[in-house]
Amino acid sequence: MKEQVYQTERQAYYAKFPTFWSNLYDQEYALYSVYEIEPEEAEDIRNVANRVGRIFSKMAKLLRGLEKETLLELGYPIETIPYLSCKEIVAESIISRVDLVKTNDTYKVLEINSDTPTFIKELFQMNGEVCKEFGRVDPNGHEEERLGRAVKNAIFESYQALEKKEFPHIVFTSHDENFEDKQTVLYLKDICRLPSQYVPLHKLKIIEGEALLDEEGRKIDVLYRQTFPIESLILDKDAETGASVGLQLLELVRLKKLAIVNPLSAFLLQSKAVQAIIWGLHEQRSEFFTKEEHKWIGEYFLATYLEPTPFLSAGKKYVEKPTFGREGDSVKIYAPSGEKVEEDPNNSYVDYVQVYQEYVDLPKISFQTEIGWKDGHMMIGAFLVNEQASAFGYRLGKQIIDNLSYFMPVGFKQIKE
Amino acid sequence: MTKTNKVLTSVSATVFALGMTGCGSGYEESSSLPPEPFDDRCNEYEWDNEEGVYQCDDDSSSYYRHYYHGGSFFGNKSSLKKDSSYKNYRNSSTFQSNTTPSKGFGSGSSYSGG
Repeated sequence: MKEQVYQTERQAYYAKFPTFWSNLYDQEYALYSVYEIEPEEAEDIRNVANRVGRIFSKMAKLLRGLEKETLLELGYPIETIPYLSCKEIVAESIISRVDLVKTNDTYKVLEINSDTPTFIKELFQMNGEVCKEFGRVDPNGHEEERLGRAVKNAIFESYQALEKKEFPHIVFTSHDENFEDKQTVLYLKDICRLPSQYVPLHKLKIIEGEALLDEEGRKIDVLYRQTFPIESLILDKDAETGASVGLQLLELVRLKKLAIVNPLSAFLLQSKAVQAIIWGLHEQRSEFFTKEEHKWIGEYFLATYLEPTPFLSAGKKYVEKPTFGREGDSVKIYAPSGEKVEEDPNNSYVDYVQVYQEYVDLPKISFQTEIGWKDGHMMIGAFLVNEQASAFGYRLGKQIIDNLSYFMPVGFKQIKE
Repeated sequence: MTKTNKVLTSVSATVFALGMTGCGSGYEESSSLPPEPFDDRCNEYEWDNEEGVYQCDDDSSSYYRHYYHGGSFFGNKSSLKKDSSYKNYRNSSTFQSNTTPSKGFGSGSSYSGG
């Protein structure tokens, strides 16, 4: 397609979806094309996501038993420690996303975002729309309905733990000024089909030890915070009184006066240091993992440590990542000599504990954009809904995939009849 | 001993002692609200922020949904508001501080999901 045609058709197409962010940061984000795969590839990705999800879920049970000192070494903020052992519902996380890389013969896990993953509306809704436009079959068809049910069930399961009787007052929240966050949350609110309200973060109020309130002073029973990370929440303060409102909110959860979704256990898996424990136990051939699980770890996980020494000794290229970083922020790539060769320009997470992970090349792909054909690296985002593999899709960008990367819709090769 | 090995030693010890912990404790910051009543005519109380008093939330108690102030139960808002001790409390700065909720969510960081 010629550049001008691509641009005109793309803009006309996405203009039909005003609640979707086809452009981000004044740049093209959603591509107007479909990356074609075979159904077998979708099956492989979901297999890997399920296996990786099982390993992480098993880790959550172990992490809850760790001592305070060990949790601090793993980078969990000290303020969160009293809450890390809370387990409100069966699933560790309702919506999490595993970031995978396709290698020559398998897939490797870069990380899991179990607490506040985005890329949801793209894969659960827009992917299907773009497939329709190009006459392709959507590999994520039916996943939207499953997601809606999962959100609804998670809200009720969380509420049950509060042992209240009346129908819950359910509130969805996000930063009001962030279009992507707000629309993601409104999308989840819409598909769960429950009577609920959207209240932006800055309008929430709290009575310490008693209740979280909406803007009209009504008590909230369940707070859905898909895009609001716990490590940000703990920094929140009342500007006038200095009250630590974020910590007060966590305390309400502990006192069972408020339920939050994703649950606190999702934050437990968010630390990238969890991968250092998985890899360490794997290297020790620990009995914590079964023979089969050891095989999966060896195949899908990357060597990860809390110091770069093993890579420097072995002369291997490696990556430095903050335990609670997001969107590639603060990620650095080092040559085997220890010399830095690439880094993300943002350095928002330097104060966190760092982990060191074996470097893996992201496969390259050429793709059309409004400003011509580009070469980029490819990463797979594979969702787990209630710990079961669900929608997946592709991000294209630099070797360090950041929030300026593109969303490439995915479809099966056969033409839809 | 490297940091990784130190952590793994502790993790391995925990592997043998799984299932020993419950949901956390140790958050010691005290509440700014008055302490919950000890009056055992009702076993569960809930804070009513509008009236600045506790309300009985124990449906097995004959005082269920009654307001509690100064050692007495009040069946409804109007009887509570007629009470002279409650009138004094209502005009005090304590009432103000008890019933003014804190705000500031989202202020700590603009980081969002990823």
